[in-house]
Order: sequence, then structure tokens, then C-alpha cells
Amino acid sequence: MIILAVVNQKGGVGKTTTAVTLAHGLAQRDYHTLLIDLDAQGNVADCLGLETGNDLYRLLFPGMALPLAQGVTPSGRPRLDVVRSDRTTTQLKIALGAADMREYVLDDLLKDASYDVVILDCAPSMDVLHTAAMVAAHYILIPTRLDQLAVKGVRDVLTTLQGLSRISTCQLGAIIPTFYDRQTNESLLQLKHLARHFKEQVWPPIPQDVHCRESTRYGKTLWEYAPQARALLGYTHTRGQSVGGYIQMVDRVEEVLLR
Amino acid sequence: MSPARRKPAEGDNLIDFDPAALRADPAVRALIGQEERLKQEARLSRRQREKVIKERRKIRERREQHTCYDIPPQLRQYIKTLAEELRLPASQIAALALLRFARDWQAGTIDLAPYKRPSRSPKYDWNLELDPAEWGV
Ligand SMILES: Nc1ncnc2c1ncn2[C@@H]1O[C@H](COP(=O)(O)OP(=O)(O)OP(=O)(O)O)[C@@H](O)[C@H]1O
Ligand SMILES: [Mg+2]
Repeated sequence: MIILAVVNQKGGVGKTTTAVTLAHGLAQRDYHTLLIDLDAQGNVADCLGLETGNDLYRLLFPGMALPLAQGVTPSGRPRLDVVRSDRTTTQLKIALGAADMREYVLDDLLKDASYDVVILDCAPSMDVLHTAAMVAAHYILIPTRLDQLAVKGVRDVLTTLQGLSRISTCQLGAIIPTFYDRQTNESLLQLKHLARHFKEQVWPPIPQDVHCRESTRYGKTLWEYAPQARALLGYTHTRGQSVGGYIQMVDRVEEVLLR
Repeated sequence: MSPARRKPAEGDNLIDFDPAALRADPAVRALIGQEERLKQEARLSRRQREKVIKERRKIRERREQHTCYDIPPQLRQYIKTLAEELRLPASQIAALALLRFARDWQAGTIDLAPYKRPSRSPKYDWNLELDPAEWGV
């Protein structure tokens, strides 16, 4: 079982979109997948067209936690289960703040899980669940927009990761540029800059695409709502090859992280 | 491949300098290359840009016309020499020759029978056997 955490302390960079698209993409490729929402906004349920719920609270609340199998919700898609989150997650975080070994709550929860892949969608904040995600995960994926402020978020995540090195073996899996806009020089500049530093750990960018927002509104994943969306397919390069997009990202996850 | 994925070298004291680690993801490289070319073109004056675009179109169109046949070397050399003598592109001589052949073929004035030999290839029924004495024309 491989655990991937999708993190960036910066908000609105495409974490949830990336986590949901990746989770459903892997489930469609036959991986038994669990997607865990660690954000009190409860966006994962919205993206999948599910009622929001307090699965996370029930699974982690100190002293009265349920076993994983009793707390997950089927997503209505084959091989994809979710742990939903809602406003109760705020109370959960307060309760966890006072608990011993709180950094290990997710690690403990997932110890005996029988999934092929677990994906953790983190909130845009540095809280106890964020730390717990970085402790439980094998790799982090960092979606980032390609502007200077967002790229600073990448540095912050890596600093946080370094700070956890005593209790975590989690490593950088990849940086995933999102909201890529071919028209702006800034996108290209930042992409080059990141690629120069992080080399092959910078994966091909996800094009900016209105289908992302629309699919959430209908409670469908991109695969369901717009299989021809640019955000999935990427750009056509020479000789019909494509570059970028979530299909290529799922390819990379399979090739690089899930061998 | 992510460095995270690479197994640590075991059993020897040599540091593993994986050359792949020094390079960006191939798709990222392709995208950056393509965008830089477009950006460069955007910087050209209108006339220069038109020229680049025209050249690219010419190359693309020529790709359609490009073909590859195996021809006995003496015959190929003959066409080449002829082209030089006549100060013409060899391709156009070859095109004319093929055109004449196609016309004669349609008119029924060409008989392949003297050249035809059964082929052992699963792809073809026949081969045309040209007399080496005729290659140099
Ligand atoms: N590639 C894209 N192109 C256009 N819009 C996108 C793209 N990716 C995501 N979006 C939209 O941008 C908004 C923010 O994305 P998302 O919720 O995935 O980010 P997030 O990092 O999870 O945000 P938060 O930090 O609040 O959790 C959403 O409305 C989403 O539909
Ligand atoms: Mg989110």
C-alpha cells in the first residue's frame, strides 16, 4: 500500500481537484483506492457528488475512534472509497491538539488498511492533520500555481517536511504545476525555474480549464464530466503526442511512485 | 524517475550519479522547448515571422511529397548525372519518368511479362527482375 499526501499550505492551488482526479483515475486503472479528506471545507464530497459527512471525525476522535472499515463511505464508483470531512473536523483538530501521539493518528488508522493506494487531501493550513498526513504518507505531491507567491508555497511545504524528518520518512514525490496558462510568460518562467531546481520531480503541468470548476458543480469527476477536457488530455505536441494534463500525471504516479 | 524511487546503491562504495537525475521530465522539456520557440517567433518582426511560417509550411508540404524507393545504384547514379547535366532537380526527372510510365501503363503499351518472376515474400506475388546490363541504361 502506498500513501500519497496532496499538500500545499497555500489555498486554491488545485489540491482537491488533483486528489480527486488522481484517486478516481487510479481506481479506473484497477487500484483499490481510498481518498481521505482532511479539510473542514469538505470539498472532496462536493467533487464526488456525495453528501458531506463526519467520517473523519468518527474515525479519529480520541478515545472513541471507529476502525477504518466502519468509517469509510463508498464513492459510488468501483474500487474507490472515501473518508469524508465536514465542519466537525474543526472540533476534531482541537481534540487532537491535546492528545498524545497526535502526529501518528493517520499512520495508526492506515496501519492495517487493505487498499492499494491511499490519497490524503490536505487543508491549506499547517495544522495537526497536516502534520499527521506528512507522517503517514510515503510521498507528498505538491500542486502549485505558476506564480511567484504560489511557488513560495512549495518552499514552505519542503521546509515543513524537513522539520518533520525526525518522525517522518515521507519524501517529495512530485511538484505538479496547475492552472497552466500558455498565454502568460509568468507560467513559462516559473515552470523553467522549478524544472531547473527540481529536475524530473517537476511533472508536466495541468492546463487551466473551466471544466474543473464545472465538474465540481455537477458533483462529477473530470473523467465522468468531461473526458475530453484539456485538463485531462494536456496539450498536443508534435506528432500527436500530448504533454501535461491529469492523464499524464496518473501515468507518472503509476510509473514512478507505485511500481 | 523520481529519486525517491531509485534504490540506494548497495554493496559498493561508489556514489550513483544517475544521469536521468540531472534532467527534467521529458514532457516538461518538450513543452518548454515548444513554448520558447513560439515566444521567439513572437519577438520577430512581422516580415521575419512570415518568412519562418512560410518555411515551416514548405517543409510540411514537402513532407507529403517525400517518398522512399529502392533503386539500383547505377540507375540512381544515372538519374543524378542526368539531372546535373540538364541542371534540373533529380526529383522532378524521377517524377516525370514515373508519370510517363503511368501513362504508358494505362495505354497498355507496357508489358511487364518479360520481367516478372514469382516472389517468395508473403507480401508480394511477383518481383520484377531487371537486367543488370540495363541498369546503367
Ligand atoms: N486546472 C484548473 N483550471 C481551472 N480551474 C481549476 C483547475 N484546478 C482547479 N480549479 C478550480 O479552482 C478552484 C480551487 O481548486 P481546488 O479546490 O482543487 O484547490 P485547493 O488547493 O484544494 O483549494 P483549498 O486550498 O481551498 O483546499 C476550484 O473551483 C477548482 O474547480
Ligand atoms: Mg481543497
